[in-house]
Amino acid sequence: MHKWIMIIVLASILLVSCGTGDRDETKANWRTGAQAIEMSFLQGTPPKVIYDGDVFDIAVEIWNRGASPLVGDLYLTGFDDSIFSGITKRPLPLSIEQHKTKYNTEGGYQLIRESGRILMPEGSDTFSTTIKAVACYFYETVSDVQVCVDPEPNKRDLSSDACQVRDVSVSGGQAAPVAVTNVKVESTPQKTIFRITIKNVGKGTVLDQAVVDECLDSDVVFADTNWIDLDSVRLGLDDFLQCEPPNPVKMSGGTATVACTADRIVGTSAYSSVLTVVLTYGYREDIEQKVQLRSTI
Amino acid sequence: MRLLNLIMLSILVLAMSCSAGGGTSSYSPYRGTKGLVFEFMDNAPPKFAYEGTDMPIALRIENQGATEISDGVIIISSEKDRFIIDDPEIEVELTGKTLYNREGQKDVKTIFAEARGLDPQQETHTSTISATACYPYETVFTGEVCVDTDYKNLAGSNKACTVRDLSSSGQGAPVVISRVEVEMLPSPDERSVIPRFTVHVTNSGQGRILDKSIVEDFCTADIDERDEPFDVIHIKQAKLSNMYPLRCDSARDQPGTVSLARQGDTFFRCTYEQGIPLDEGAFTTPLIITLEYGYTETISTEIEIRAAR
Repeated sequence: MHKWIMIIVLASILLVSCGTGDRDETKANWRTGAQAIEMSFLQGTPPKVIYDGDVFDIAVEIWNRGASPLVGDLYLTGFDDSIFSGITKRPLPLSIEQHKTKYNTEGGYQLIRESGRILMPEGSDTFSTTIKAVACYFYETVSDVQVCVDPEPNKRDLSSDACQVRDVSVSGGQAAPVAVTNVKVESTPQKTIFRITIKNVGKGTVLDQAVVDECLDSDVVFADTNWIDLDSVRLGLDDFLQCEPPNPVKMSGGTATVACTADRIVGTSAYSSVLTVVLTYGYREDIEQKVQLRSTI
Repeated sequence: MRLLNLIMLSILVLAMSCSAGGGTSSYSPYRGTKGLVFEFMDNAPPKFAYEGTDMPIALRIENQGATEISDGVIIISSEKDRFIIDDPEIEVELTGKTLYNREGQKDVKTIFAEARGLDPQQETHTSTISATACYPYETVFTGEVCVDTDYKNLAGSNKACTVRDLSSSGQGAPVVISRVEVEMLPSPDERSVIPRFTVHVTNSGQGRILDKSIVEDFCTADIDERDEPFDVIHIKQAKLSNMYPLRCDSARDQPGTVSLARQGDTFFRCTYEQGIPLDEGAFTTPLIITLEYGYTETISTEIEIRAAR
């Protein structure tokens, strides 16, 4: 009898746990991740070994795995265009309107393909080169952080407070390569200051939006990297906060901190609200593949 | 036990496949420091010969380098009045190593010599027979060069390659380009970079370098060594990729020519003066340099002539 009870209990636990799996957690937390773009060379394009005179393709699969439309350019570089005849170093338009949403957890897709022919220089038997695909694009991060705001932090009676003011750490990213990772909340009787930490959590480089369209030009230098624009910081529905430093904000070591002040806080009791941070920036990342060229003589 | 055998077999198969793969892909004919290699065969010439008799002189010749020899010559010579050699000139035509033929062409050449009579008082005389080869040859250097137009290293992007010097232990020829220093210089208008290559050349063979214009004459005619036909190398070709011909000069020689100090080395510089536009970025491309020269080398052996009385 006990044995049967044990079996029924175990089966129940199993069924309950299966039921938990069916809950759509991905959709509930769809705005997560540190990626915007996911790039790869399509298998065999370019081939790892190409012989003189061969026609070949370079095809790059690009997924927009982030939560914003992706617009920019893709550059193929790293090769000698007199040998890789027909492959352009000019920018190839990149535009993926589809992105991650509550209903689309995969994002959008684009395939960029170029064809060329190998013309080996006379006298060269074999040599290796690295083909790089560099994507430069505009992107946006939207971060909603639940914060506790206390209009009167020095009051004695805390019984009516709905929450307790504390710093908030945000992990997992916001489906973009730049993320808000921490919000420090400082309540004063007149205003609340939010110190927002922003981090480059992706694999690439943050670019000034002004240079995204010419991101591989020779006059784009280190000084043009690591600039972001803080488009808006809003508390609740309509309280747009003033922030410092002014735009554009320079990141140092992949991190920036901005201080935003809410000075229209009314009431006496602490309450929860949502701090919405919108960042825009340029971003550059690349993939590469080694290719060996061989002569046929 | 059976499992252990299976594991051992798998490791063995893996190891064999690894070594086979490595060997196939790494072969290049443009390696080593040998050109024409020649030697007397055993007992031809013999260690001794009787006066008045014919004897064979046989040479085993092999092209161990990567250049085809089409107008080479080997001259057999001896102490005057000791041997009669009717036709001392041996023509040499041998294909070199290629990507698909890992062994250069080999041959055996034989001529005959007659030992002259000794003086009545002599019972024996030891004499020397020499073989001197003169042949035109080429050194073909190919290296992967990184051209980086961001010579100040200001661009924040990951580059496809990094500029670095090249070194080599040999290119399948006795004259070796041992090192190439690679530099990217700014053009006067700073809109392009001028790649500059400092090419170091060494004679790594046992012989001497000749001016290519006197290769055959040096062996067959009397050329006074004081005319300094030695150690002159012509730069036949220097280019970067398909598009960028290089101009090469050495400080002390005429354009396209470089002189090598005896038993030493020298260098010359090649540049692409038109410059490569800054927007080309960083890319890898082949540097191809072909040197032309003549080469001479002598071997000898001793032979004892015995009286036949």
